[in-house]
Amino acid sequence: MKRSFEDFVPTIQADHKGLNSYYRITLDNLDAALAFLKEEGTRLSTITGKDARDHLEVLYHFAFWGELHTVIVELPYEKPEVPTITNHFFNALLYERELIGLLGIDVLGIPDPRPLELPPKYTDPTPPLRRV
Amino acid sequence: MADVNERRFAKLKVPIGPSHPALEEPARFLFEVEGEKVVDVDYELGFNHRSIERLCQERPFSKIVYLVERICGICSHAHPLNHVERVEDIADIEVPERATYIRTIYAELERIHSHMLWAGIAGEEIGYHTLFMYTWREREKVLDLFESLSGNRVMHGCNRIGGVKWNITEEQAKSAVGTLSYLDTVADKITKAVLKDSNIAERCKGVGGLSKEDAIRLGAVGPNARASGVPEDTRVMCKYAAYGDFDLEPLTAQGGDVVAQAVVRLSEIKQSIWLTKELFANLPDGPIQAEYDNEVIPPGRSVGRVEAPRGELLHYVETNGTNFFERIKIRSPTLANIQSYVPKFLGCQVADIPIIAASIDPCFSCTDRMTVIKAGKRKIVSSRDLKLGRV
Amino acid sequence: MIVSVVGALVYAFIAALLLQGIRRIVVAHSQFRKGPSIFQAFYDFFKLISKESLTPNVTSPLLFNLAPILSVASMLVAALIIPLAAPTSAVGAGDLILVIYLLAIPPIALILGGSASGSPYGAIGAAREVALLIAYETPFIVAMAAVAIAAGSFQLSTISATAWISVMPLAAIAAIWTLPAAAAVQPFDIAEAETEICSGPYVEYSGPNLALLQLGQWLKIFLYASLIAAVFFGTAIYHFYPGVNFVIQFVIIALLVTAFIAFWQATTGRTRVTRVLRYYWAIPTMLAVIDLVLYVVGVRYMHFLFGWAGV
Repeated sequence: MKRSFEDFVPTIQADHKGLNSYYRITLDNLDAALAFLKEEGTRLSTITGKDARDHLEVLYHFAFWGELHTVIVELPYEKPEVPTITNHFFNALLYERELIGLLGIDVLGIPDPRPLELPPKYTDPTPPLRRV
Repeated sequence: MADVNERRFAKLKVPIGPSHPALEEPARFLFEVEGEKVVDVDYELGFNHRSIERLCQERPFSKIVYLVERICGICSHAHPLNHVERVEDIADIEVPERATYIRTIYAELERIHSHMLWAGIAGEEIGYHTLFMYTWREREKVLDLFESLSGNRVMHGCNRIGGVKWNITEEQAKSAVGTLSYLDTVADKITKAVLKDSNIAERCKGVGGLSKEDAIRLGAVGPNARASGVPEDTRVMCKYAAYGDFDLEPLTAQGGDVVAQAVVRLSEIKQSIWLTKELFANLPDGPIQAEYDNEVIPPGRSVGRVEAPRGELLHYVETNGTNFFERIKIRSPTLANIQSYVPKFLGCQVADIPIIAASIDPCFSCTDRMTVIKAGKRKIVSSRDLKLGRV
Repeated sequence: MIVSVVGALVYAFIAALLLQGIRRIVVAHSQFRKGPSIFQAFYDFFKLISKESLTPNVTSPLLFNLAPILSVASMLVAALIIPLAAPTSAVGAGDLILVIYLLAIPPIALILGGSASGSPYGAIGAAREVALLIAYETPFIVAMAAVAIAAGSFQLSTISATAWISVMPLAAIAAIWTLPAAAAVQPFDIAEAETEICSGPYVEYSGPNLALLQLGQWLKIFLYASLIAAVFFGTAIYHFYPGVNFVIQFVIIALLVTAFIAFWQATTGRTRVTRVLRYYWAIPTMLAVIDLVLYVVGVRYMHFLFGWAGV
């Protein structure tokens, strides 16, 4: 990328290793981060959801030619909500549906809220990828 | 009055899948059809879901390479390649050059046989059985080559953390180059048969088109994106394994229709054959396995991409210092390409549905990774069952 | 009379199934394969007869079960009327118009069965079969009409006394051109496309129903080719080699079938249904119409060109 992420978006922590960069930000700065990444011309590669034992994490992986920039957002267990990013990156739709299904994260404002891979009659209240 | 005219054609809902002759793997498409024209499409995935990401968290390191290999039969080298490269990135293990060349050879051979498989499947979908028989017959030569190199046609098991398992001898390299020269002529024949056939041109030209803006917006990857003119090839962008030593260019076409997809994949076969011959010719000497302390992989994370035959494959690996992975995330290329189905299908005819479905080269085994219907009995598996290993 | 009737039926049955085996072996060899045994159609037929016939719930069971019977019954009657291996047919007399009508019944049975099967695949397959039937019947009927006008009668025994290919080669080409569509092979296997609509009208049939439906189709291919051979190659050739009539006719038919049908099946993919209509209503129909018009007007171009050879 031409400009550096930390200079434009308030970052709690930034790690760089080779072509990979990881930026930990708060949920409020997500919009600013997305706007910046969209301007730089990155593409969303995928979204990873993670149960980090005392909170949930959502990692957005953006690709810019050979570089991979990962934006990490922490979510508490009591309020697992994250706004949708399909306004900026439309191909996030299926990845966010995976978050809904496999991790039980509410994605606010998503156009198609059906969980991606679970069957319609899945009744277990704990989503599969959570550690209980 | 207007109502009567609008309801002239009855709308028919045609389901394709989960089991349908047009799909090799189960997925469910529901088409709304007016006469012979498709007006709406909805898809449902998850029929092949096998909870691999969850299983990776519950098995020790040594088993994960084999587990990841079995995600897909046709991309059976790209997945473990990506996985071991991530682990090597976390643990800072330097892989010897000969091992990276051997890995690249397997990756390119896999690309060749996968694209030949695609050409056969595409022919079968439009009713062209002869093309199917011919391409699959010649594809057997690649699979025989795999068997002589690694002992198995697919699921080679040759990747290990830090290197590869089996070496390539001089005689193997020589016979491989002979097979590749023969495959070069075969690739020319297939290209001529597909691109110069008026029947195929009539069925496939302009069918399932995707504009470049749509391809970027919907996140298409791999040959699917390159057929719409997006010049992105992970081998060129990321230069993993031995690709940094060679001058590759992404092969693109315009329009994204089935003919463009065929052009991209058939030219990629020739490119891969050339590249594999170069790799065999320039195979450096040296060890095939790095020495490292394999007691524990340090905590850390790595994310990276590999060009599987179907597109950009992404693995995210996080370790926490114990013998188990903290999180492994796999995003296969078909999941990224599925959204590009919608503009391709709208407005096409029912006769075109199978060929468009096959044109993006879908591999639903890579895409879903958890099945809940057990063979014989319908049983909803809860996460407790998964944890206790009762699956 | 009884002997000739039974003989014609048995011959038609065996020849139709053998023809399928020959066709599949030729196609397989052109695909570098060995192909099935030449008696494969027999194995398929008797195996299907031994299985259970299931009728789906949401259908008109009468139509669903009637379609295969209709298909086979019409073909058995046609086998008695078309001159199969002798200058006259098994029952002595035969009417061309009746035969053309009977040959159209197996596709109509498919259409009925496909619509009655209650599955969207059957409905789409039936619709495609309608389009296909209209497409390939047109040049065939015009060609047959041309020959009937030239012969002066619709009686098959009169018509097949002359080898009409020597007088109306264009009409013969038009009729032979419709063979792949009548046999529903590539490029015209649109109604029973496996990869698109799961075999269309056939999808809900099983057991003896499916066996009869397929038998009707196989008999139709054989009798269609027989009719073309009888009309255009005539029974005049039988006078050269009396006693081996049916061998000659079967060889001609087998050549027609394998040469045209197997060749096209092995080298092409499926066309779209919208294109089939335009395809058959263009050149094949035009060829048949040219021959008809020329004959009516009085131009005997074959006699003019090849009169010295005795045409």
